[in-house]
Amino acid sequence: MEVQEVTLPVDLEVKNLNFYYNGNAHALRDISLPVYKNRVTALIGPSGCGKTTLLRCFNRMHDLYPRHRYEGEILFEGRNILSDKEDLINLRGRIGMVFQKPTPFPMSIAENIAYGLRLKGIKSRTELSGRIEQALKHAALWNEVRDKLNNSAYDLSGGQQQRLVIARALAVEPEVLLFDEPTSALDPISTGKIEELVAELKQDVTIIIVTHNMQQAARVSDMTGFMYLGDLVEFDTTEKIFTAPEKKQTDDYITGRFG
Amino acid sequence: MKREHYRKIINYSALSLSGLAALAGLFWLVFILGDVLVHGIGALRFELFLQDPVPAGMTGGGLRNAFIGQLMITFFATLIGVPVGVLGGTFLAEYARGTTFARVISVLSDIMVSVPSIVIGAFVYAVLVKPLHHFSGWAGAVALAVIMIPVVLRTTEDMLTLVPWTVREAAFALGAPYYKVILQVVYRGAATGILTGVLLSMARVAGETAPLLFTSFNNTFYSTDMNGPVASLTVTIFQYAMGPYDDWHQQAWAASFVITLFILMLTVSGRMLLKWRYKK
Repeated sequence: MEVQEVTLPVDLEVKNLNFYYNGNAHALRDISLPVYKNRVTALIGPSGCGKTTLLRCFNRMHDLYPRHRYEGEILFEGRNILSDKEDLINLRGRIGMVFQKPTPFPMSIAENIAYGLRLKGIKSRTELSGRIEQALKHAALWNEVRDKLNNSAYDLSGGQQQRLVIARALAVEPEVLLFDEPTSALDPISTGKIEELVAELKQDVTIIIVTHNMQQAARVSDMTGFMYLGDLVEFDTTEKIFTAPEKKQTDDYITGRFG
Repeated sequence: MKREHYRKIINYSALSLSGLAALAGLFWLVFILGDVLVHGIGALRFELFLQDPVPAGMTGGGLRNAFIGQLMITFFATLIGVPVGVLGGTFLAEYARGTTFARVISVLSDIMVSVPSIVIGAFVYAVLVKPLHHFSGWAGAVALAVIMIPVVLRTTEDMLTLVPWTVREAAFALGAPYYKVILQVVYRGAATGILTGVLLSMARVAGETAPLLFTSFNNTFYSTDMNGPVASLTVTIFQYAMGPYDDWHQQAWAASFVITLFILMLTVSGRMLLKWRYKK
């Protein structure tokens, strides 16, 4: 069983990562884990455990704010993406992100998708409209919006907005997608649709998902990491974590004894 | 029972006092607007917009010079004030967000909004009129622009702050550089709000007289030369209303009516825009 997992291709490798906010608040402690290609990796743990902080290291989101510090490495195709020389614009084009609350831009549905494509330098109208359709189909939203592509994205429901945002992220053809609690603001039906989508998307992209919802982690992920107070307590196959975790702390959290 | 009675008396007296105060305020408002309306409409003639003033004491003529001058000064004031205000507000809300520097500038702008406009007139007089030895339309436009800048700057800052930060993060996460995030995402979200601020600031300066007295002064002739004195409606109203001729008084009423209507329209369209934005 375990031998089989080890042979999977690794997309991103986190090596001895430490992260500090405001100069010295130690938010991530010596994290190491592999992220397997075309698999869903879930990060679970109680609030404040550092799972979102870790997620935001993969696309260097922390760089928007002053006084942060990375130590250690995240290897992407053998290159350390935490290096100062990393081209963040290029990196974020390859590692996309979907946020907790839907973040449609104040423009039409079609323009929302076209935004990322234009950033990549695609200007031809026919190519844009083709890729808009493709992305919306990919995110299972096409049938609901095909007749109102020029309506404001704000007219959509929360669940539709979240799928629009996923479509927007997919349109630029990233290799990795980061999901930061993508369903915590949605109703159960919309949540179900997003979860189905995540399961389908892993054929094309590697997915890392942060979630508060353990059932969700169990349903959608292949690998799960349990984090607590900035430490990665345990990392293994989702099946192992949810049925026979090695650490007592993990077991306590999974069974709801704390957290 | 008695205490309840007492409470009711207090309640009614507070209600009637505040009602009276509101009525007193409304009375003067209606009185002033009504007076301008009655006298203004009565004095309104087509020649007012088409002819220039005739020599003092003679009857007839119009205020074409003042209408054109007023529009020119307001237009150039907007042209100077809006870019500075919008860019300044963008700097405070985006690049300097959360810094002490931004907060200090913000507070100073709030103070600037309430500085008496005559002080700004005197300032521009000292900077642009005295050294050049003559009044000019440009000095008037600059004085009005100085009044506009803090208004536009603060509205822009507020409207940009209203755009959720997560929307910016989402744009960054797609690989957008900051200037594109601001130009293509944040401005689109804040556009109506900023436009409202611009309209309201135009309404604010269009009725100013004091700063123009010191700067663009007045001109009894038709002149579009911004390097020399330019006539404006407000200063003309001031002069004509103080003047000895009945014909001047009539024209001052008509001009008051037109400028009041102009400012009212600016304000109402600004408010309507704001309402329309928040209904969405």
